Amino acid sequence: MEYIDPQVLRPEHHRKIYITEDNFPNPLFFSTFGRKKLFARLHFFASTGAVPPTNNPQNDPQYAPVFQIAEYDGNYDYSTGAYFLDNWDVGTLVLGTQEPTTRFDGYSPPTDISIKLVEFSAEDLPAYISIRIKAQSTNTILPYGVIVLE
Amino acid sequence: MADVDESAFKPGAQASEWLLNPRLVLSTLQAGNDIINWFDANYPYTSVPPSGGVGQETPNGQSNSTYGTLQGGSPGNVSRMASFSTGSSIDGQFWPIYDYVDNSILLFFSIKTPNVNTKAIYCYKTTDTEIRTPLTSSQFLGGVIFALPFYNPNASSHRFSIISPDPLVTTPRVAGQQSAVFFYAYGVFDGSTPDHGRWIEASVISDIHTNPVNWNGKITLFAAINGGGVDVAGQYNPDKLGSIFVVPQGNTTSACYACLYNATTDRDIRSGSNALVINAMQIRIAYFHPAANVLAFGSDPISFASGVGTIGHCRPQFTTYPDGVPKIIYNDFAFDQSLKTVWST
Repeated sequence: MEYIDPQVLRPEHHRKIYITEDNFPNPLFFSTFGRKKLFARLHFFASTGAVPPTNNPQNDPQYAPVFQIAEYDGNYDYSTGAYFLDNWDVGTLVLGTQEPTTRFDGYSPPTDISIKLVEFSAEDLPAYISIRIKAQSTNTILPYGVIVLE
Repeated sequence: MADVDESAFKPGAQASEWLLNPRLVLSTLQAGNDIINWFDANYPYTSVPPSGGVGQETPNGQSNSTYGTLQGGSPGNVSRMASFSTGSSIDGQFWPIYDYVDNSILLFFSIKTPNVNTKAIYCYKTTDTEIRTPLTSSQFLGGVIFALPFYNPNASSHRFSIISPDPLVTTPRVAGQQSAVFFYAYGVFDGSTPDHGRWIEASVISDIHTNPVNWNGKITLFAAINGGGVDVAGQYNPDKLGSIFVVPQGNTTSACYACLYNATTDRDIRSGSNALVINAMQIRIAYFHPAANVLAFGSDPISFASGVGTIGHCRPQFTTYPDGVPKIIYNDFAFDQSLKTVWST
């Protein structure tokens, strides 16, 4: 038994808050728990279909992702559809790149899945944030990774 | 179970001075027999006769229209629940809930199962809210079912915690119903290390009164539903889930449910080995934020002062008993793998 200040148990007490899910919904909607800095490392693959990198990635950007980081400025009630966060705020866009055609060792990347990775950070966060990943391809995108709030 | 005389408590007091009328709630043999009988009734053996008793070696793929289809490549087995000699699988964590709709007590508890082909969470219901006599077969409701779309529908993990009613009232109160919040950790880390869970999920249920063991269709929020939250990016694998409490709104958008749990201090990455690693355990906190329906994890463990014989802590419970002051009760975990409940006042 140890007496404990209940404030210690609040999320504000931690140096960092981690949000990870295996896998995230897309878009991902989350509270920032009052934090002001965010670091995200996200990777994803298409849920269906092999997407091998082509030899002409500049002409075939079907899996060059766009990350939309948006603030939801409205009713925060999950049941009203805040989760989907469609078009109220275009927010900030982060552009990813097409998968390279070769690795550094000269071999081709795996062709059965198409993994993309992006890292970005943001500051001066609102109360709630949405991150949406879009690509030219219409295949469902399954994002994994971690959101670190500081 | 016992009664607490708060006025008799003082630091250093013997437990017998303030912890009154201790009584048995449930014997492990009783629970074992009830679980095996329930399994035999709902998942009867079909192709191969059971070896040495009912409820053993449940065939893979056994189906029940109410409780779902069992799965997993290996036979399930709850047989060791039946005797002291083979060792009880009761995990020692019981979650009694007061059902205010009909003035009864629901006792949820979980057992360790050998694989995903067995159910882990069960429930008794008694109208004797003082539990003056141990629970019996007639009060056994059976195994809990809720659908996990990603992993398995069996609720086969014993890493489970529940409170009721939902203190943040994200599901409106309805006459004749009682809401609840539960956390559930499951999965096998690295595919071969069953000692610690892989994922955590959290959920709000609209009603556990009408049918306490069937939660399908009543789940109103389910965070990390696509596969499961991984604590601190998967560094600390949950071992036991402790109690749930509510974190009220502060100056931030922080109103959420918090669940204490314990996890290894180091990432458990024994690929190919299932031998238990004696590792220090830390108390950590998972947060279920219902407005955003998201599961989050605090980076920092809670540290307790402890002696040299202790390498970790587990089974954390938040409570204000017996003196009204917030505290955490936990077990010390020692080098010889023994547990000692830390209750030294």
